[in-house]
Amino acid sequence: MPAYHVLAYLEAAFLWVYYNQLADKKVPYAGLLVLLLLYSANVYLQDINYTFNSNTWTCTVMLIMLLGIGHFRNIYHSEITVPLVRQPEFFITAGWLIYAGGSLFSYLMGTDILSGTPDGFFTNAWIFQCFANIIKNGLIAYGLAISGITCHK
Amino acid sequence: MSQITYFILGTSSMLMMIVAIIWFVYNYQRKLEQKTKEYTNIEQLMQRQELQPAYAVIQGQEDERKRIAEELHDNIGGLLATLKIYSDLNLVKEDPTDIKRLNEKISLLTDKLSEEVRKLSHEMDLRTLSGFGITVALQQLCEAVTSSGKLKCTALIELPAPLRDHVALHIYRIIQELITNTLKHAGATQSRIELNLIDQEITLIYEDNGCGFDSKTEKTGGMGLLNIRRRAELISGRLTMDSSPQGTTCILEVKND
Repeated sequence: MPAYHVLAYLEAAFLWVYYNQLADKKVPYAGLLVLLLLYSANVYLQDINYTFNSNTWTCTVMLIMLLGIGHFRNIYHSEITVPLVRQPEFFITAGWLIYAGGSLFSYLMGTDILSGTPDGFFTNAWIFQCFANIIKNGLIAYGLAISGITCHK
Repeated sequence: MSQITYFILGTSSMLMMIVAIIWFVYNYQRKLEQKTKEYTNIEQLMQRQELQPAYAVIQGQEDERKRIAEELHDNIGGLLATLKIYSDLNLVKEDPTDIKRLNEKISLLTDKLSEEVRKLSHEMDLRTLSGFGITVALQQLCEAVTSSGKLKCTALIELPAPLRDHVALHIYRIIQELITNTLKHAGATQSRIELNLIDQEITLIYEDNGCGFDSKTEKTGGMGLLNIRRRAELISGRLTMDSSPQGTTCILEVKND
């Protein structure tokens, strides 16, 4: 479970750096540090070393949503007009946004779902999570595949 | 929170993201279409602007052809028809007085016809000069003379700036007169026109390889030469004429300001 705390931070941190690079911005060292402190404090203060960290994962998916929507805004206002089907970043972002949207519920209720025994309606949470994850993986895979084609061109 | 709330939260968050993506794709495509349309409009506009001068020239030529056709049909055509009637009548008349009277009319009509043709030709020259400039007008003149087979005319024209309208017209008329003289009297096989503009100073050099003329006797006598001198004076030009049995050289220097 502690590795899962680190994973929540790494996912948020890597995506933050990735979208900053796409927008030709510097690496947000200060922001990453604040995020690290926030996530660590959450784990430490709540004493959830061996249970699911619902708050940090919720924060991660919210950050992914903000970064993804921000990137869509950048694409829309960009002077360079390339069709979306030829923009790998669009597919990757769409994948991440669907994943974030589908996981938000699971992570909000993560402590109840993952720490206890999910029964009744809570079992549906996994359906959302898995479904969103599959779409995300498919879209990211497609985005990476066409990124190779566009680079060759 | 009830299970219904969880259900709504769970489905709506993912649906909202999907709707957001679809909304973004729709708007982006619209923007793309709009930009493509704008680029197409700009390209069409540029093409139109590039082609406009060419169209204007073609249109001008068409108008000119129509005008010449009308002039030929209405004026010269009418005169020729009358001439034909008189000449037909002349063939059937037997009385010498009638024949003489008809011959006089034919002669008058021929003069008038000649005058009309000259006027039309004069107008066409002027239009070429004002429409396309002296360079094109002189090149056309040289081509026309050379194509007659009587004289090989060469034109070397270097005009970095346009000449003033009245100066260009007088120079053009002087050159016309010089060519006419060469054709009529010199018996030359070659002529050369050189026209330059350097520091607002126009220099015209006309040469032919004809038999030449006596400049002293022609000074007062020849109408052609008198016209040339009068035109040179009108544009305050300095005219120098040199003639020998090997040919004639005429140099005209004029200010373009």
